[in-house]
Amino acid sequence: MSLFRIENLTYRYGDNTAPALDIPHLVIEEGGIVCLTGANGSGKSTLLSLLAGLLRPTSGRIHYRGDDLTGGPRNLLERMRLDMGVCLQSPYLFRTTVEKNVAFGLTARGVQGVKKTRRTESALRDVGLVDFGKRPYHALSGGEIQRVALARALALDPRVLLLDEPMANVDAATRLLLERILEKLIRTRGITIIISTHDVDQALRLGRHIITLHEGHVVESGLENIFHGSVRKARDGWYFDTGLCRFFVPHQKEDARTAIIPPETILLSLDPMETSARNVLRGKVTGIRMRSGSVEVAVRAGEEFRSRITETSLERLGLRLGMDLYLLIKAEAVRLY
Amino acid sequence: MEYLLTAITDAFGLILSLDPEVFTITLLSLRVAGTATVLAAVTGIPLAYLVATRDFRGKSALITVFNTLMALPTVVVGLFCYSFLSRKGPLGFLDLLFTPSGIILGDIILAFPLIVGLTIAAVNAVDPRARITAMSLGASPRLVSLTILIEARFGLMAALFNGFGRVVAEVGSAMMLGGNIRGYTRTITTAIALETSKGEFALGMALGIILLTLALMVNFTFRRLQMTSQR
Repeated sequence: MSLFRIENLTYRYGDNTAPALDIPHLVIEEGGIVCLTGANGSGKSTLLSLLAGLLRPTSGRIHYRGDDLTGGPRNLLERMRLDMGVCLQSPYLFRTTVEKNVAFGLTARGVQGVKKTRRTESALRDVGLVDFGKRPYHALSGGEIQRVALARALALDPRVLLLDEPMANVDAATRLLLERILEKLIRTRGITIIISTHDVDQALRLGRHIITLHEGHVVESGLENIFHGSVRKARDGWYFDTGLCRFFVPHQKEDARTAIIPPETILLSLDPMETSARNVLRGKVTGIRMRSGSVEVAVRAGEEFRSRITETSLERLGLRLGMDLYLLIKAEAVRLY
Repeated sequence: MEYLLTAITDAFGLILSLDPEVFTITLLSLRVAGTATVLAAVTGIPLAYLVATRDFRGKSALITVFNTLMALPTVVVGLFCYSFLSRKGPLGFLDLLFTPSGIILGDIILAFPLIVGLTIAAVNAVDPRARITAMSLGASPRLVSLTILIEARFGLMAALFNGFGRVVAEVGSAMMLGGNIRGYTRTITTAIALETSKGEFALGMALGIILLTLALMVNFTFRRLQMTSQR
């Protein structure tokens, strides 16, 4: 079952305004980090607020784990909110101490006493602010405010964490720290984190699934063939291992966790030709899609790769579904993040 | 000038000797003003919260009315209530005229718009993110409201202290609705007015000093609470 399923969703900020968001269909699966990217005003924050149940759609449906939030009873929305931790783009701290801020959601859920104290301390430890509990809200830096807001969401032990531009106003060191915290959360708690960011590099570093928005619409990001794994060294060079397949990469970023291969750089061949391309992967055609001016061919070779070719090439190769062929990929064409 | 010094010396004498009349008048003033402020707050704060947080037709006009009523002349309130509470008035059967409850009624009408107006301003001044943050953390609608009022606590305190300050120091309504009956409805301000007109400066001065001390204590407490709330 998908975590969120969106059908014909629109959202307008005023009656006569253009939709700030217009998404005919979108599915977000459970687990890992999902990144919403796009320029300012593209609808990232609106989408996050809708997913968090803080805004009601103008029209359309949002299903959360199969339940229709938009048409369902109000208590369904409130129940869903209990599953979620949310950090706003510019977090607001209540005018009290750090620990009371972190404990707020627990109080709302009726958690009291030692349990509340323990979970508050644990959340502060997770974000590296163990000794900050007694500090007043106004004695914190921008990065610390961001971490307190994250701790406040983590204290709730959420299944889904929604973070709106959590690293927009923090320095590089805090950004790195926050990224590590998020990755650790994925490893240790197995939750889903949906994060909006205008930093494409960051989205590529973190995201299992990247959703790109442009003026309220989900658009093809142009970022296809995104693979997650690690760079390893072999006798004959450096390669990227996804767990399902491996391919040679340029030796430039040993700590990279994401590899991207532009679809137009992948050559398709019926034979394992001897070329300068270091990667020759055998696969099976799983999809052929006509696009304006080109054809997108999906090939399963451990992972699913997408190659973009011309209609002439499609005819010349006589490609059809289920057919075996070879992918030729230059190591230099692989971009590492 | 000498009579003034004598009056001041006598005034301190009355205060320090815990003169029963001074004591009774002060206690009644505190009781009447305190009760009126609490009743005006209990009804005014929820109303102000609703006005501040809901959108409806005529909202702006209503806020303007409350702001105007903040400066309601005390004698007008006295006159208005008198006409209702007098024997011939529609509420004459309640027998509230010339009783402490009558003074409290007038004081509530004086404090209410002040508390409502200042509370609306205080709630409006709360960062809009406070509501969204509370909601996003799973707060029930009741907890969201409570959180916003807590965030506005400094403004709410100002509303309460201003309301109390207005009613403890007003004379017109208390004189008309209480009748300044000795030992029953005589408050600090009505007593000062009477004693001064009689030429009894010492008692008037003593009560004036007490009133000023009260105002000082209220402001001091307010300042302390303000500093605590900012900590």
